[in-house]
Amino acid sequence: MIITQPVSSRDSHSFNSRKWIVNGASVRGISHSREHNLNQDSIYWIRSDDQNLGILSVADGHGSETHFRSKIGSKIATKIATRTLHKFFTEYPLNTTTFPGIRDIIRYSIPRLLVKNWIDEVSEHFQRHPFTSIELSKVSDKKNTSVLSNIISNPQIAYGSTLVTAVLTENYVLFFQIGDGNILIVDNYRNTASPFDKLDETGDGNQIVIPLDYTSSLCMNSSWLDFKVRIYPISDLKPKLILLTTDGYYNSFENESGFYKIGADYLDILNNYGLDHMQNNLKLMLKATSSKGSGDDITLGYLFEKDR
Amino acid sequence: MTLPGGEISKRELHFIWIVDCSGSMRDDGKIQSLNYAIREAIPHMQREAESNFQANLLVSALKFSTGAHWIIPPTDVNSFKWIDVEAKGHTDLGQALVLLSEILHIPPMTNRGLPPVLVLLSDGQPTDNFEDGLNKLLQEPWGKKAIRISIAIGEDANMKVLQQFIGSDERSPLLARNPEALSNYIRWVSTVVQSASARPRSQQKNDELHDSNVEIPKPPEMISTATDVW
Repeated sequence: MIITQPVSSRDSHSFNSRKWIVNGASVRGISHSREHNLNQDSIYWIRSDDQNLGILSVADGHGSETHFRSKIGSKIATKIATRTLHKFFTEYPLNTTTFPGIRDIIRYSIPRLLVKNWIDEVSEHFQRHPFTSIELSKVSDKKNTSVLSNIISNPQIAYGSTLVTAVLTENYVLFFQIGDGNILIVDNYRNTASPFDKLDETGDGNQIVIPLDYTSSLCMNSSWLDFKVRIYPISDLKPKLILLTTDGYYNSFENESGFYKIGADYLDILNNYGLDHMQNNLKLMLKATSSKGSGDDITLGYLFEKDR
Repeated sequence: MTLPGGEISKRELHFIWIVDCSGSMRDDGKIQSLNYAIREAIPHMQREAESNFQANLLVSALKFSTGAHWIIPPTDVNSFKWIDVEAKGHTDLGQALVLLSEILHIPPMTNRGLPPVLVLLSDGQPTDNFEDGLNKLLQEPWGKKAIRISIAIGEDANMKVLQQFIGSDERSPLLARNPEALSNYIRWVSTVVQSASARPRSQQKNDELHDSNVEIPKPPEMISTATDVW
């Protein structure tokens, strides 16, 4: 049985699987509400009991004038990535026997495949819905002509988005990421880790500054080169809870440790109050965090291991 | 409801006035015009900041004449009060930029945040080693990424130096030929530039067409009049 559950801003029902729960929610930030802009984030997941697979993706459309279709871009990103990876791991089940043979395919070919499939889908959308004169005039009002001609030559720029995806198989957990966003892995003892340390990105965390909202993107040339990929045996990681978030969450905290603390806090909520409480309150918590913090859209997706 | 995670806060946006208080600023009431213009812009700045859902605006001021020093430390915009400055001495802009580089160092700045806004107001020629000061500022990652705006007070200002400070070919120094223009430019940076910096939209990195992720709207156009010209 395959269960797919996209979460819109209207609804975020939970569902159960044999062992893992996959769920999440996405809220529009106050800055976008006030400006009557859509929530640029998206979330999508597939839980396949037959293949023992859980795949969860979140994405953050850039939202600037140049990326005027980024809501569609982020929606396509989450859907395409999740479906692509579901298809791949259904055809090539990842277990301890097959792992050595397909490890390099995963590390080097999957990012290319994800980018290719995103561009194909975006191009198809563009063919069906060419840019309107209103969309283009909004760009030309604020940008110089070279920006506009660049978008016309490369329509995928208008759809620019980040992508963060987690894949849970029977024996392995895999992460794929391009651009902003965070992944937290929490074990049963509330220890929280992140597969992509910030220092990996900067080379030297004290010397390279990262302006907010300045991100790698699926729409960049050769963007697959910017993908970060990690594969861990589940037996090493022993995850109890995996959280994927868009950067509006991280940017809401005074410091990094404040953000990391959400890992243990969400585990406590799930363990102590249960799934219904989590889902009933998740949007409220995300909304409150956004309005006190970054003001940006926030999306949180999670994979949670039920008690056996 | 207790929210998951540690302390939640908005990001800090530093807005820094860098003010020329050299002796020549005494001429034709330039320093009085500057004091008046900044004082008059503060309520507009505070009102504009109410819409900054993503940032806490911290305003500070640094003056340079013979030497340079801070006159107002980083202060929440709602508590910010301008302290009138007097004009006397040389134009040690280089020293001012060295002081700036110190406050933009990491720490006290964090490596992830909103680029600071640096507004330089000057009427003349630097009398110290401006190049060294600028190099020091640009060696700091946030100095390099900062939104740097310069306003020339009168025709005698060294436009080349002010352009070097900005560093971007997309923008030029704003030339205030009279008190009214100075007032308008100061109000523009206090409101329009502030809000553009506090509410940046996400965009891809390596975008060759942009140095910064902050889009600064065009400044107001000033019509020069024959009277009341510096």
